[in-house]
Parts: sequence; structure tokens; C-alpha cells
Amino acid sequence: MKPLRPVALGPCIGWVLCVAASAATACAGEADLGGTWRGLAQLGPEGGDLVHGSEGGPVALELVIGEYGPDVAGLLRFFRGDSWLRARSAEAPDRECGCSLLHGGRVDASTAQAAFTLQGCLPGAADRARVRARGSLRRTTSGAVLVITVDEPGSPLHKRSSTIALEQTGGPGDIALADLACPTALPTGNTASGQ
Amino acid sequence: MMRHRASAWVCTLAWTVLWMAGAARAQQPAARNSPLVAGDVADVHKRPRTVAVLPVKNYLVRPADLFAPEALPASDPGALAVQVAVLAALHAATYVDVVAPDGTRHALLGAPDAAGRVQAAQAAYRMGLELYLGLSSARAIDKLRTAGREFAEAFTDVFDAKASADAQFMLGVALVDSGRSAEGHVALKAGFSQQPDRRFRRDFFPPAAANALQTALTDLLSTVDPLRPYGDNQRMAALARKLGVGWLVLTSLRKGERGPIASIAVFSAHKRLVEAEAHLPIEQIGARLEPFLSRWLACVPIDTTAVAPASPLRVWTDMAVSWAPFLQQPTRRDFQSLGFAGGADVVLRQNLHWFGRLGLYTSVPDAYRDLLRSFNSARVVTGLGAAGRTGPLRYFVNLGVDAHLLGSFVTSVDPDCKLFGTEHRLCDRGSLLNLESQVLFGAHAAVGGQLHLGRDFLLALRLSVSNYFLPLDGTDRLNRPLGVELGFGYRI
Repeated sequence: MKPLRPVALGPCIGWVLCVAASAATACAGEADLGGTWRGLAQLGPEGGDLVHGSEGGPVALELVIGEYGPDVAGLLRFFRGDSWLRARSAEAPDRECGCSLLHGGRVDASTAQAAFTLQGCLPGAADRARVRARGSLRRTTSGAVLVITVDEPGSPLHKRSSTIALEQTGGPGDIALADLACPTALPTGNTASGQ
Repeated sequence: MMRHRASAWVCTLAWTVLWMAGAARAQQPAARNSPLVAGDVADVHKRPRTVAVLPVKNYLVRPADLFAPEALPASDPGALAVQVAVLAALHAATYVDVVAPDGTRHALLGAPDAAGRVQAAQAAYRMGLELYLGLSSARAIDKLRTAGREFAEAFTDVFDAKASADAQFMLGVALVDSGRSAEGHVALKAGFSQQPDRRFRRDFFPPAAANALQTALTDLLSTVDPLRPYGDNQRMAALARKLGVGWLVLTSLRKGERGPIASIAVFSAHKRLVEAEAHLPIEQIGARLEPFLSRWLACVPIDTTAVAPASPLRVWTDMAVSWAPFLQQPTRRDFQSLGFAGGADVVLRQNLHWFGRLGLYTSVPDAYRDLLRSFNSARVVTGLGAAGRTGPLRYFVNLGVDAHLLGSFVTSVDPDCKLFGTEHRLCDRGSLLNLESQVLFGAHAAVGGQLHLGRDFLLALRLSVSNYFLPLDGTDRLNRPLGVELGFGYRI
């Protein structure tokens, strides 16, 4: 019997392991939304006026999101000034509306879209009260689009929404512990600081 | 209910191992007979050595007497006496089964293809002879050559030398008549090598053929090897195989300086060579033959059949890459464990071995990342197995126990726990499952094979499954690991 050559088996073993590992991790049907997203909330008719700085200036957003099969979790941060998009140093647009956590996030992999709720204040809102808003993140060819719609009956902001175009600045593996800091909400629903 | 199922599972595996052990024992080739000294085993276990005695070949002839049939009696009393002496000496020896020339004839003629070959050879010879007499030499040569080849294939020269030699003689004469003297010489010499004491009537052949015959006999007598009167070692090995014997005794008579000499050779089929030889003056045969054969027999080991030698300790080691998914796991999607496993099978008996293996594994994340951290574990399995062999493949069934030390195994279905960590306020602690540093015990079964690649190196493949029973309340979440291992091994 002709003996088998071990040199030919090595790549085969590696290939089998790669296939097994890939099958275990890559076939989940994810929408590929995980990572860090950033964008600028435009004022005016196109972007709506739900989110803006207290001085009426533009607001930068950072969405840190983790996607786990059908679930997503994450947080949404607001910052003042478009310069923040280039250097993450600007202060929050409103000291008490710096960060909101995502709740009940679900993914529809077929439409590459995630839906979640936000509980907290929104920068630029009239009374900075705690409101409940629905968020959706949808992948586009150039990035993603975040739509925030207030769903708080009784609030003057009810049904008002903002659409913000986002670009991905980091993948799921780039999320650091510091990126997940979101201070405890105050009784008003706002956070203690803009960090 | 679960316990009953587990018991049934274990019983089924145990039955499988026992059944395989029986099957493997049945398929195991007979133990190789080992040379042992006579005192090591009881007489009933000793297997006689089988020896075939071929007819004595008589080279005590003179080319000058080739055409004087009256110079040679019908049977040479010297050759007969030597043959009788050889047979008597062998019959007197212990643990020797002797096949006399008559038995040799029956054995060769009784071979499955012998009758057909001999008939074909005889038919070809008759046709060749007729063609030669009809002056069709070229066609006669073809037929006679066929006859000679068929006779040789059937070893006809051993039991009917005249018929076989006649084909060669007629072939040689036909070749000489056709002017192909060199080829004719070879054929005539081959005829005399099969029947050296053949005589012909005067004036039977034309002068050219008669001269060629005399020259061929002269050439044979000056060049013949008296220890190989029936051909070379390869032909003798084939003859011994056909006769089913271990040894052949080849005897020839030739002229010596002080009288006829009997050359006796003992050919070993196993070694494929002449392992003992003697050249004895005929008048001393009675005194010197028995000591010669005794010396040879003393050096030939007695085979045993009933007693197998003690199995030497054999250890089959291997190191393999391993893939081990769990059939029962708390994550919503399967997670895989990859790692390395190594171990050894220590052969206790021919088809029974003890095995021990150690495996080290780490996890590949599941699709939903329910497994919060990379999960490392160590696994020890040990038990008994049954093994069998088929050519270069050794296959086995193992049954034993499995101890699995789990490292950090924490799962959750809450995405907040996955993103922010288990200490975060959003993480639902109720969704956490922590099996950290737990040891699971259970039954283990495996099947596999080791393919012999050359020297003592092996390609090993093993499939396994375990079922954990202990601790009683800790095996319902993570259980039943499968195992697929592929690697290389070495037989010590």
C-alpha cells in the first residue's frame, strides 16, 4: 500500500478546521451593524429639528452598538460641534443630555435593520424631560441611517423625528471598555455629565 | 427515566465492545509460529517439518555412451540406493513429515492446473513431432517450444523426466536441422539437465544432430551444479510452494576422483536458498548421511501451532487535532471546541488494550455570542478497548470513563451582558449561567482506526462520544460531547 504523505494532510486538516470554525461563526445571518457609528444631525427640513444643540448648533452623534444574532445592545452619545467628527474632544451639546442606552434592540437580518428604544432626554428638546423614543438603524450602501422618533404621548415632541446619516468608524472588535461608559441617569432621565 | 436510558446506553456500548473483541479475535490471523527449542512446548503442539525428497538425478554417465543403450541398466542401483538411504534417514528423524518421490508425483499431478498443462504439453509435443517428421521444422519448433514450456510450468521433469526431456531433445534436434545450432545446443542441454542418463539408439539421429547431442551432454556434465539439479532457487521455491512443503531434498550423483559422489542439498522454501549441503562418497552414505541430516534438523526450528507466544507489549501513541461539539449545550446556537488530544493504547492481549487520552480544548464563539468568554477545558478519558487488524489498518472500539474539567464557562442570552459585561447594571443576572471549574464525570465510547503509513508511523482517526452523569444536578445544561480527532501516531 502506498503510504500517505503527511505534507499533503497538513493543509487539509487546516482547511477542515477553518471550515468548521467559519461554519460556527459566520453563518448567523447577521445584519453587520455592530461597531461604532458617527454622524452629524442636520437641522432644517431634511434632518428635522428634534436633535440640536442648546445654542441651536449642530449635534454630533456616536452610536456604539453590539450585534448578537437577533439582538442588539448599545448606547447613543451626543456631542456638540462638527469638529468632534474629526477630533473627539468637543463637549456634550447639553451637559445633561450626553448619553442614552439602547433597550430591547432587535435585528431584522433580512432588511439589515435594527430597531430599539431610547429612554432619556434628547439634546435641544424643549424641556429636557425624559422621553421615550424609538430608534432604527438601517444599513445603506455608504453607511447607515439612524431615525429617531419620539414615542411619548403627552409630550410636545411626540411623533417628531430626526434622520441622521452615519458612517462606520469602527468594527465590532474595536469597541473598547471606555466606549461603553454611560453615566447613571438622573431622576429627570438625564445623565450626570456629557461624558 | 434518564438514568434508565443511560444504563441502556452503557450496556449497549459494553455489548458492542465485547462483540467486537470476539469478532476481532476471530479475524486475527493465526499467531506466527516462532522458533522454540524443543523443551519449550509440549509435544502435541509441535508441528512436523515437511520435507519433499525429489528423485535422484544421475550424472554418472559418459558422453561416449550416449548412443549405447546397453551400457546403462534400466534403473541405476546406485541412485536407487542413495534415494532409499535418504528416505530412511528422514523417516527415522522426529517431527519430520517426508514426501517421497511418489508423493511428489501425486501432489504435482493433483494440482488444479497440472492435468490441463500436461495434456496441453503432450498435445503440443505430438504435433511438433509430426510436423518435424513432415519436414515442417519452423512450425515444429514453435510447437515443441510450447510443449517444453508447459512441461516446465507443470514441473513434469520432477515426476516424468522422460516426457519433459523428450520435448527439449526434439526441439534441439529441430533447431539444429534448421541451422540454428546455438539455440539447438541450449535446448539439448536443457533436455539432458532433466534426464542426464538418457540414451539413444544408434543411427536414430542424423550425424549433425548426434554430434550436437554429444556436445550438449559434455557441456552439461562439465558445468552442472550438483546442488541444483532441478533448477535455480526461484524455481525450487515455486516447487516447494506447490508441494506445500518447507524443504526440498535434492540429490544428484556425479563422478568423483575416487568414485561416485552423492551431492545432497536441503533447500529451504522459507529462506529460498540451500541451507545445508553434503558431498558424500556413495560407499559412505550409510555412515555419513544420518549425521548430516541430524545436524541440519538440529538447526531447523520446530514450528508450533497450538501455543501462541506471549504478546509483546505494544504501545500505540498518537497526537491529534480535535473537534468536539456538545450535543447538549445552553447556548442558542452551537459552539465548537477545538483543541489537541493525545494518548496511547497499551496492548494487553492480542485484541485487548487499555487506553488513556488527554485533551485540551478551547471554544470557538457561537453565532449569537451567548458564550460570553472563550471556554477552555481539559479532558481525561481512560478505559479498555477491542482492536482488530486488516492489512495496514488497525481498528478499535473503546469504552471507558471521561472526566471533563470545565474552565470559565459563562453564558447569557441578554445582549447587554454581552456588550457591557456581567457587572453592568443593565445585565440581567438571571440570564447568566456559570459552570466555572466544574468537573463532569461520565461514560465514554469511541471507534477509530490507525492506518500504518510505513515503518511505525500511523495516521489516526477517532470518533467519540461521552455522556456525563455526575454531578447529578450539573449535567443537564452541558453534556454529550462528540469528538472527531485526526492526527499522527507512532507505534512503540
